[in-house]
Amino acid sequence: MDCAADQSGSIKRCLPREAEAIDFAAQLETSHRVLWVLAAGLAGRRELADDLVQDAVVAALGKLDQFTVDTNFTAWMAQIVRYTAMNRRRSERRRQMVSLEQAPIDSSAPTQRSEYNDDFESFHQNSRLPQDQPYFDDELTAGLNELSDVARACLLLRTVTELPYEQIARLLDIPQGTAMSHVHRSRQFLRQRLGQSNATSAKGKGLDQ
Amino acid sequence: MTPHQSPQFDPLDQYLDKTLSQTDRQRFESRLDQDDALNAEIRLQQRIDRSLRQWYEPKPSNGLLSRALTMTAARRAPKSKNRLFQLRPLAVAAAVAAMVLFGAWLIWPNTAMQSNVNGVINQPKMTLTAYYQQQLDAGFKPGWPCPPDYFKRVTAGRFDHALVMAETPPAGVEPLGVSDCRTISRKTLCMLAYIDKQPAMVFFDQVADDAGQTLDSSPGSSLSLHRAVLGEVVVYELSPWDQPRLIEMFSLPAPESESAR
Repeated sequence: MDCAADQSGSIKRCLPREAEAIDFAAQLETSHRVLWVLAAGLAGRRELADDLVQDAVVAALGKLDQFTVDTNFTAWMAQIVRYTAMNRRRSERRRQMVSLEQAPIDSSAPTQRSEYNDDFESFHQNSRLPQDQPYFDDELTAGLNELSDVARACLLLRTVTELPYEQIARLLDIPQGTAMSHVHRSRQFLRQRLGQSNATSAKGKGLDQ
Repeated sequence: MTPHQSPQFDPLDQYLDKTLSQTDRQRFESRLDQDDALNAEIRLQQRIDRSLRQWYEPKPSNGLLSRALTMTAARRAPKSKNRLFQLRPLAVAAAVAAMVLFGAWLIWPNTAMQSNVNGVINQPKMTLTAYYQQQLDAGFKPGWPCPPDYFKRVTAGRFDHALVMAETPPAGVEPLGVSDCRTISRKTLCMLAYIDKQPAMVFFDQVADDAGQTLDSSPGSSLSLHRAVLGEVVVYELSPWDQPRLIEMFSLPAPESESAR
């Protein structure tokens, strides 16, 4: 049958012939999670990951003749995700050349926390979240943004998808040792940043660590 | 703070990655019991990891491929529209000539209907997408109307297996009629319809004659193609919508009706 199976069962969805030849739909389904996390790491924002993966799939549909059957589909798609992310960054840089300078993130400044006044302790009293979770989340987000795209992608692929370092290296086309180094340094960096931040917020609010 | 080592040998990373041997893991955990600073680092890292897993776990990829296929065709469409615009006078003249000839066949005396069928038989087969595009270019008009009782007789006669068409179409669906269309085989019957005012087609033929249909990579491929099998009849729905809406109108008759054919 030329039509790929979909969730509905008896009614089959049909794709272009070249996509059918490599079972594109099934392979995409299998590799989607890894590709999404890769995209989120390279883009730096979860919100952009969906668009990035979709653009990569569109690009892949135009390059099906370049894919060799029985080779690593995820690695091939990862390459397209990387190129798509790179092109997006270039476009964004061109757009931003005339405008905005972002204020540097100052972890000691209370601006992002002005909404969290002395009442937030009671607000979180019955919550299972640690009481400093909002601070923690802010700092973790800021810390992730300071990582390089590749380092962040390595960290997320290791932490979220638990991919072996060898596979992470293949997806990003870097040596395995470099992938391990990125994860190691990223973890260290985030712990240092959050460790200092937690100490500051605990002192300021009288919270226990 | 753990002393900086090559990442491959940093026990903290190895512990987090669960790559320590059992002996080394037990040794490390003993250290944790005695080293408050190391313990705090591990707990902090575990907290970081929990947040990352929560934030970066993707949702399922529902509809991703459909959207990508639609975008792929949309990116091609402007070029094809420009080309069509340039060839418009020629296309109009060709369409008019084709309709005049077709009309002449229809009004030819005595064997008009047979000639029509023979004409269709002698035409080369087209892909479903190409036929759909041809019908769009020609104004999307069926050969003749097809109420449900007529549809059942036609499918019984043509495919030796009757299909039943719902008396009331689903919401938003407007069947127009049927045509002979030499696509899957020379016997293919196609129904033209509108789904929420968008043109759609359903193609019927015998399963045994179906070598498998796919979407073309041509300008019409912003479409979705769905396939179903009803008894010995294969049904393809081609439309701009991601989900099939026409196929559900058709079903196999109840056994009593089958014997009454």
